Amino acid sequence: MDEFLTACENLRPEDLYGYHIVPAAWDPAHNPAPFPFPKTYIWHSLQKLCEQYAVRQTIVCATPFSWQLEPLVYAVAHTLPASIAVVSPKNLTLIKPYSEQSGVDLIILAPEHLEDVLAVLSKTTRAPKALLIIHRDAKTLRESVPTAALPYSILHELHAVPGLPLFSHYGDTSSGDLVFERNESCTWDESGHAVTLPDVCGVWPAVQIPYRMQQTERGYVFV
Amino acid sequence: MNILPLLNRVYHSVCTSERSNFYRALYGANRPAHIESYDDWESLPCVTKEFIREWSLVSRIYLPYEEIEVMKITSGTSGKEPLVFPRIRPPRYHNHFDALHPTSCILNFFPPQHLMQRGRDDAKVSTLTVIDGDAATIDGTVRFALHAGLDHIMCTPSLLDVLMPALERNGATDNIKRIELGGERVTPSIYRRLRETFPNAFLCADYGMTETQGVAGVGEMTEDGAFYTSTKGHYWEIINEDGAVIHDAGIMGELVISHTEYEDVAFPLLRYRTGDYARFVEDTETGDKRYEVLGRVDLDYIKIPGGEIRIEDVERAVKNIHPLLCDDFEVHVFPRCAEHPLSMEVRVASKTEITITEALSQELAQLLASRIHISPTRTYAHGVTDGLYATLRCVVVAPFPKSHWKRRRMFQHE
Repeated sequence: MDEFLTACENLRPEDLYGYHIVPAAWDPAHNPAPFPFPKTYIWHSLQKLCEQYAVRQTIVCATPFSWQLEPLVYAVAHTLPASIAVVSPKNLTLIKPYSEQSGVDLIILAPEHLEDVLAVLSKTTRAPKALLIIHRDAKTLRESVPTAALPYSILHELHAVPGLPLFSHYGDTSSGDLVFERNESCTWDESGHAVTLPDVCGVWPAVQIPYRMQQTERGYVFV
Repeated sequence: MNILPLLNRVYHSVCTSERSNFYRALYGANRPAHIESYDDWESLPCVTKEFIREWSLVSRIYLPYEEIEVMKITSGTSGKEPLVFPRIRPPRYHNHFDALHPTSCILNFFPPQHLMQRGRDDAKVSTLTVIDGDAATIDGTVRFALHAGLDHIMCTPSLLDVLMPALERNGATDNIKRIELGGERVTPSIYRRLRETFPNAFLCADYGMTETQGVAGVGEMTEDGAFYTSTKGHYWEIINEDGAVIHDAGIMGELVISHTEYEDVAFPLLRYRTGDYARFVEDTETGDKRYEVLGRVDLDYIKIPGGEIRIEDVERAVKNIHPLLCDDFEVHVFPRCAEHPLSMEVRVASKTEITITEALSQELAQLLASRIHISPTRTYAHGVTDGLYATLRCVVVAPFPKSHWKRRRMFQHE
C-alpha cells in the first residue's frame, strides 16, 4: 500500500482538476493523499446490486462525509433512476423520516454504524430492501454479520479506496458463508494477494490485500 | 421589473395541474381565475409547514416521482418530525460559478456534493475540484482539501468555530480567496472575525433553505451584516403578523418566498412562510430589491460553547417555577466579550403586576440554571462552575402582550 499511497501523495492540485477525489488512505486525518475518479466512472457493482433489488425509491448515503462517496452513488442512482439522500452518520435518526415520507430502498453505510442504523430501522414502519456496508478490511466484515433475521438483506463490499470495490457480496448466503464476486476490472496477481487498480489516472503501483480470499464454485470466500 | 406574468404563470400551472391538488385545496373554490394584479397575488393565503405536513410527499409533488433526483430534509428543530422535500434537477449553479473569482478547490459543507460538481461542469469550469466537508473530522477534511488546492469555503457561520482554528493550525488562512456563508444569520461580528482572519478572501453570503431547493438569495457581507437580493426564479415578500405585505423599507416582518420558475421544481413554493424575520432595505440601481435577514421567527435553540439551549428545555424549567409567575418567558443570550463570559437572562412573566425581591430573583435564577440543560448530562449551572458562562439572571416582567403572531421567545444578541 505504501507505494500506492506515495503515488497518490505525489498528485498535485492541477492533476486533480475535473476528477472526483476520495481519500486514498480512507482517513484524511491520517493521510490526505487523494485518489481520483474520472467523471465517467460508474460504481458497477452498486449498479448491479440496485438492479438486482429493484431499487427505485431513495438511496440513503450514510457513509462518513470524508469518504466523498455521494457523487459516485448519485451517478448510479441517476441511471436507475432512483433518488438519493445524504444522511450524516451523526444524525442517523433522519433515516426514519426519509423512510416514511419518501420511501427508502437502500442504505449505504460504514460498518461502525450498523448497530445504530438497525436501531433506527426497528422503529420505522417501512423497511428498506437492503443495507450495503462498505468495508475497508475483513476485520469489520466478520464483526458486522447480524444473527437475527431481518426483513431486509445486509450486503457487503470490500473497497480498496472508498468507491472502488474489490469484492462484492450480493446476498447469497445459502452455503452459510458470505460469497463474493471479485472486481475483474482490476488486475490481480496470481496469488490474489495483490491487485493493480484500474487505470483511471495514470498507472498505479500494486496494492497488497491484507486479507485472504479463496475461489470456490460459487465465488470467493474468506479463508 | 413586472413579475406579475411570472407569478400568474406558476399560479395557473399549480391550479390546473392534474398531478396534485395541494394548491387548489389551499386556495379553495373561490380563488382568482388569474393573477392580474399584485392585490390578487397578495390575497392568496401563504403556505405553512403545518399545511404541508398534512400532505404525503407523493400527493404534493407536481412532477413524476421517478424524476426526483435528490431528497432533502428540513432541520426539524421545531420539535416536530422533519419534512422531506424533493428536488428534480440541480439548480442552476452555473450562474453562481460565473461570478466566482477563479478558484481551484471548494470545500463545501452543504451536501449533496454532486450538485456543486454538476454546476461546475455546466459552467464549463474545468479547473475546479469540489470536496465534501466533514465537520466530524475537521482537521482531516482541511488537510485533504489543502492537498487539492483549497482556496474557497462554503459553510454555516457556526462551523467557523471549528473550521477557522483548523485552517490556522494548518497555516492556510492566507490561501483562502472566497468564503460563502449560508444557513444561518450572518452578523457584523462574524464579518469582523472573517475579515481579520482571512485577509485575502472575498466574503459573501447565500440565503436558501431545503424548501426553496437551492439558493434563493445572494448577498454581500459588510461591516453592518449581510444584505441579499433574490436570485432568478425566486420572488421575495415581507409580511406582517396579520399577513399583509410590508412595502416600506426598514420594517421587520416574516420573509415569504415564491418560485417564479417551476418547470424543474417538484414542489413549487407559492408564498411560503420561511419562518425568518427580514426587512426590505432599498431598491438597487439595477432594479433589484435588497433585504436584510434577521433570524428565525421560531428560533427554538441557541448554540453556545459546550452545548445548546433548547426552547423545550426552558419550557420545562420555567413551568410552575413559582405560584406568582406564568409559564411564559423569553431567553436572551449575550455573547462572550473581553470583560465577561457568555451570559443568559431568562425573563419570566408574572401573573399580575408584582414586585419581586432581589433575593427571590436570585433564587429563581439558581433554580433555572440547575434545570436548564446545555447537553443531555450537563446544565447551565455546570457551565457557570466551569467558568464558561456568567451567572444566570432571572428577571420578572409584566405579562407579554398577546399577538396573532407566534411570539419569538429566544434571542441571541450581538
